[in-house]
Parts: sequence; C-alpha cells; structure tokens
Amino acid sequence: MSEQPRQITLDEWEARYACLRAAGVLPEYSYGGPLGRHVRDGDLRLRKLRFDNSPAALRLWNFLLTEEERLHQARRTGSKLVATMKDLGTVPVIVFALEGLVAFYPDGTWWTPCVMEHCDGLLRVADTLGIPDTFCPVRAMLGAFVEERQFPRPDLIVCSAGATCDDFSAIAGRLESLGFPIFWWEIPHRQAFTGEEAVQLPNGFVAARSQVAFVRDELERVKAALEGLAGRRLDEAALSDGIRQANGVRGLLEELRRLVFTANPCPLPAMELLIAEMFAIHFCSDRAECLVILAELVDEVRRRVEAGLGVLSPEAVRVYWVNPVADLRVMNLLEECGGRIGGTDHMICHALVPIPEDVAPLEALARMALADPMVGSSRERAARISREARALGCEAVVVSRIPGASHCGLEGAIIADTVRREAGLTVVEIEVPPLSDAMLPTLRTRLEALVETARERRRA
Amino acid sequence: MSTIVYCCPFVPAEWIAAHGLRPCRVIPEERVGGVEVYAGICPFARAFAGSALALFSEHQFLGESGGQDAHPPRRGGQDARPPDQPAGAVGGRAFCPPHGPKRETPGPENTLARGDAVAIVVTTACDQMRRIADLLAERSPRPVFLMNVPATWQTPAARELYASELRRLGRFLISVGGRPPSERELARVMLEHEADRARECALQTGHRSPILENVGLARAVEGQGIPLALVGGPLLREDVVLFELVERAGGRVVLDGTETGERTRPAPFDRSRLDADPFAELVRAYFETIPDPFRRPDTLLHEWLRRETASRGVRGVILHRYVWCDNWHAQTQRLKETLGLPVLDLDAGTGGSGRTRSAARIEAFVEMLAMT
Repeated sequence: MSEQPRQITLDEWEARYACLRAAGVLPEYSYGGPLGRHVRDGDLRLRKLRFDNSPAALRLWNFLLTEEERLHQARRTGSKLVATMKDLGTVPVIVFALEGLVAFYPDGTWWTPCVMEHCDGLLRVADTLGIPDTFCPVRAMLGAFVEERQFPRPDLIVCSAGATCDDFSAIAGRLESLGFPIFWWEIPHRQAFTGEEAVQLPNGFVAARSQVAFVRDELERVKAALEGLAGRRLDEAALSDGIRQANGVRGLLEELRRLVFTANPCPLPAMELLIAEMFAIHFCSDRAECLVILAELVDEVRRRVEAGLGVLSPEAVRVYWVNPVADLRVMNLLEECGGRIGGTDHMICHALVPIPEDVAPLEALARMALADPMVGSSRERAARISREARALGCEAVVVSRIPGASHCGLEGAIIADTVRREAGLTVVEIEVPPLSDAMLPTLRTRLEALVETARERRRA
Repeated sequence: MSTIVYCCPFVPAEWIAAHGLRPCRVIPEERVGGVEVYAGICPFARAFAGSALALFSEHQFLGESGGQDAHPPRRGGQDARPPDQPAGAVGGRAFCPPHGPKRETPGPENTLARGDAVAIVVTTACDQMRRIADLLAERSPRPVFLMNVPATWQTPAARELYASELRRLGRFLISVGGRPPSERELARVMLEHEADRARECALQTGHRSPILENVGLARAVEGQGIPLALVGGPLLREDVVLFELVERAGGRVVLDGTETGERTRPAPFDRSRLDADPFAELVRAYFETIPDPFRRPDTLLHEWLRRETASRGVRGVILHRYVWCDNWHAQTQRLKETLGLPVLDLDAGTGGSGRTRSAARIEAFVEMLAMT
C-alpha cells in the first residue's frame, strides 16, 4: 500500500483510493470518500490537477471540498452562521470562541469558478448585478450570497472597511444594497507616527499605539455584535482559549511551511500547501477538524523529510510566490516547469504567526489585524518579501497578479523593484484568471524562462 | 507662499490655510506623464502623482490660492481680470491645475513657482491613491503625508479617528513651516472659505460647472438643453471637455456630481457650533456630510443623488468613471435602480481616443433622451 510520495492524477487517485480502502488503511471521517465524487458534484477542475498521493492530502481535499455541506449542516443543527468578509484570520477567532457560532469566509468563493470550471454560474450572476469582470474574481461571492447554494444566508455579515481593496469593498457595498445588512468595522492604514510610541506587531511590522487602540475598540464592537447573536457574553478566558486554539492551527502551519520550504527534495506540492495555508483564515468552518487534518499533514511531511523523500526533483528551483492564484492549476504548472515553492506571501502572512498570548486578547487580535500585509504600505510588504525570500534561499520570485484587484495596479511593480534591488533575485509578474487554460502556454513560457534564468545563475 | 498639494475633498482647505499655508487642490493633467503606465493603475492616480511630482521639478504653474492672504478676485461682479484669465480660489478651496493651456496666462497672485510646494497630502479614501503614496514617498523631494480617512462614518470612533488624523495633519503642517492656529483664527478662516463657497453657489446658474469655470477650466454656456447630471470620481484637466460635449450634443449639466464638483462641498457650518468649537465643526462638516462611494455604508451618496437629481429635474445621468475605479463602477447599476433615470456608463481609459468615443456615446445618449 505504501507508495513513494508523488503527484498523481484524479484517475490515479481513484485507483489508489480503492486499494487503500480495501486495505483498510484510510482513517474514518464523515466527509471521507474518493475525490472523484466531487467531480460528479461539479468540481470539474479536479480532472486537470495533479495531487499529492498521501491519505493526509486526500483528507485535506475532502475537507476543503465539503465546506458547503458543512455550512448547510451547521444551519440545520441550529448553529448561527457568521460571514467574516475581508478578514484574514481575526474575527473568526472571536466567532469560534462563542459556542453555537460558526464563521465562514465568503471571499473564499473566489475559487469556486475555478474548481467548477464556471459551471457554477456565479460570475454570470455577478455580471447581472453590475459587477463584471473588471473586478477581482471574488465577485463570485455576490452570486453565492444571492443563490444560497455555496452557503446558506448568514445570520450576521461582518466586513472590514478602510485599508482594504476597493474592488472588494465595492462588491461588499453592492451586496449590502441587495438587502444583506453588513456590520462594518474599520481597519486603518497601518502607520507608525512621528512622536508616538510604536507597537511591534507579531510579524515584525510596526503600528502606532493609537492605531492598535482604535482597532481594539473596533473589535470590541464586533465582539458585542457576536455576543448579541450568540445570546451570551464572551469572557476573556474563553477568548484567550480561542486564541490558543487558533495558535494551535498557526503552529502546525508554521511547522508545515518550515518543512516544505527548507527540505530538499520538496516534501509537499505547492497546491496542497496553498490550501493548508488558507485554513488559517477561518479554519474552513470547523476549527477542531482543521487541527486534526493539519496535524496529519505535518506528520506525513515530517516522515518524508526524515526519509529524504519528496515529490519533486532535488534540482527544482526555489521560487517565492506572491499572492494566491485564482486557478489552482498554475501551482501544478510551476512544478512542471522545474520550480518548487520556496516561500510564500499569500496575503496572509500575519495569520501564520502566533497571536500574542501575553497581552489582553482583544489587544492581541488588534495587533494581528494590523499586521495584515495588505493594510500597510506596499513598500513594507515588498521589503518583508525580499527579506524572507533571501532568508529562505529562494532563487526567483513570482508576483501573481489577481485580475481586477485594486492593490495589483501598482503593488506588483513595487514588489518586483524592491526584490530585484534588495535581494538581487529574478522576478516575473504574471496574471492568473480563474481558468487559465487559454493562457497556459504563455504562463508556461514565462515560468520556464524564470526557472532557466535561475538555473543559469546557479551555474554562474 | 508655502503650498500644500492634495486632491482629496476630505482634506479641509481651511485646516491648511489656518496653519498659514496655501492649500492647492490639484486637478491633474494626464499628459504630464512622469509616472510609468502600469497595467491596472488608475489614470487619475497616475496623473495626480505625475502632476504633483512635476510641481517640484518645473518653474511655474498655473495655480490658485486659498490661503488667508491670497484671495484673488472671482467671477461674478468683482472680478477685474479679463475673461480669459484664470480666476482664483473657489469656495475657499484651491484648485491648482498645473500646466495650463497657453491662453491662460497666470497672474502673479495665482502663480505657483518652484519651491512653493512644500508637501503632498494623500488620503486613504481610494486604494489606488493609498498605494500611490508609496511611489510619491520614494520619488518626491518633499515630504508626503498619508492621511487615514475612515470608510465607516456612523460611529463616534470613526469620527474621532478622522479628527485625530486632522490633528496629526496639523502637526505635520507645522513641521513643514506652518504655525498652530488659534481657535479664533481657525474660525475666521472657516467663515472666509464658507463665504467663498456661498459665492460659488450663487454663481451657479444651472448650466455650468462653477468650480471648474472659476479656475478657468470650463466656460459657462448659454442656452437650453436636456438637463443632465454628471456623476463620478475626480476629473482630469482633459476631462473638462465633457461639459462641452454634453452641450454640443444638446444637453446641459445641471448637476456636477463628480468629485471635482459640487458633490464634495462640505455642509454649511453651524454658526453656534463653530463659535463653541470650530475644530469640531470642521470635522462635522467634512466627515459627516460629504457623500462618496467609498464610504460604508454608502447611503449618503444615494440620498444626495436622489435629492439633487429630483430638485433639478435631471432627466439622465452620465457616470464618468475610470476603468479601474471599482468604487464608482459598482455604482453603475445601483444608480439605475435607485434613481430610476437612464444612466450612461462612460468608462474613461487613458488617452484622447477615449474622449472621441465619449463624444459619440454622449451624443447617442442625449438623442435617446430627446426622443423619450
């Protein structure tokens, strides 16, 4: 039954699943089953992807692809659903600390048109609501709210505003106009002010103390709204426990990333790592299960590293990847071109480091929210990427533009400029739509050129 | 005179003027260039950066002053200048269009010479402008101040954040040569600027864009036409032709709801509140009343548009937006739904060819309205 780590197709997974099942070596879990069943449910993109062949990765995929059912089930069993929008890992920590509430991340619907190869029709719905394709693919969320297939109508929608992408804020504004009341909270652009004490944030950025205090008060408002929904108070001890649980997830992800970025050969494909990282945002709607899945995955990766095994050639070029891709297929493409992930900034670097446990819980969460790379200056983000890419020994950087995202107009150029100047690395900027099939030859050529350039530099 | 360059209507000109500095709200010019064209970058943000940077590198520009000691005469009776000469500050706000056409010879009182501009103020009201601050900070020889303007506006905390940002701006202004204003001085400047705005309103005859006209960028046009609202973000200097295109097509702009227009005027000051606490009144008038699509929720904008279009008998709306301006783009369909009026979605890209296309679309729109 044991097989060397490698990437396999969906068909290969079907056969492997049958063998593993027959041998009784697959763990039992309620959302288990072969990956092929998701294709029958409309997740057509799976047919074109190559997956890690471990049972741990299978569980990761099954967990991701059953979130829809999980949310409908939560509604049926009386849980209250909280949509936490434009929130990369802050409010969900508060939500999950309150029994009877479940947080989910509607923004995550941006992957649905990719996974379902547009048969979901979500982007068409967004078109009809006046949000066309000049907007970020996250506009799919609008269709999901209206159609209530991907998730039920939430009991509360919480959304941050201020230092956020205009495209997202505009889409959320449109959603509100359609009769979905939104609880807005403000996140200011992170700055350190002259003549004012600065606070060191968990990932190294700094913010003025008054900004931290402001965000803490905003989160206090959010907490009060959630308490109102839950019908109970959330005391400090419970919130601190929620932070500890979130740190459990973050700790596993930190370890997973360390192993994947530093081991040679690469022990886990880029696509599975990307999905695991995204769990930090809202635990894929089930914090307890999320912990189990990540622990399994870390164990699998650790075993591979200890055995000197991997899924890619030891010669693969270490690439630092900036921004998540709308089409997961492109993560496979990087590896087909001779690259591997050597570091990432998927806009959630703040959600991957521990939340401070030595300060009051809301203060800790405020610091975390302000550490979001997207609420500060592009220069700061670029400098952090540059430092991390160098520290991880990356040989090239890919800046993956998100179509229609307001931050991508200028940010990519700033990151590329900074990385070239400060880290001396080759940078390529690409744009990845939800379905990149038509662009794959172009993307392939660009990624191959990047890898070849990095190899040339190795030889030089 | 030491001048502060900015373009966001949420930066109160009065606050800058009360610090003894000259506020210069730039109407950028696209052809100035100076900043690379990146895919997805807003033409306005790029033009603002280019125009602002140009202020530090060229000798002389057309400009207006809104400072306490620089109030050039205006159109409408007291203006002694020839008709082609640019007028001064409008409503206390300074519009500073660099690189004016040759026919607009600057007078000494509204000339901005090299060295006058001492700082740039950018706000977070728009994500692209927030990020252009990074680029400006790197390239500008003078300091750049990034002011947080909260998107939320219904909580005391948001209001206080705006107030604290104004205080921080005040400290910055002092650091670049300004002086701390007394309450009395602030109140005096506020009243002066308000008087300017009142004159501006009185000038409005329903078929002109007084703000642009008063800085020599638009001309009053006589005659009748189908009453239209021009709505959208800030205009570039080159966009002023829109008013002419509307009139040529048989329409007239009776409501200038662009960011450059009357939509972004602050509310009139309440005299008793102003006497009691001018700073608090300044905060109220700007932060609590200016309607804009970046605000969350954006109800102020729709209330304002409903009220103004109804009171002026508007028969159609031209929404002028830049291709990458998501905040306005997302309003297109909502305007149709909430106003119940025909809406022309005029997407503006980069370059003059877009304006030729705009001309044809405006003609078709006005023709359509004429037939209904």
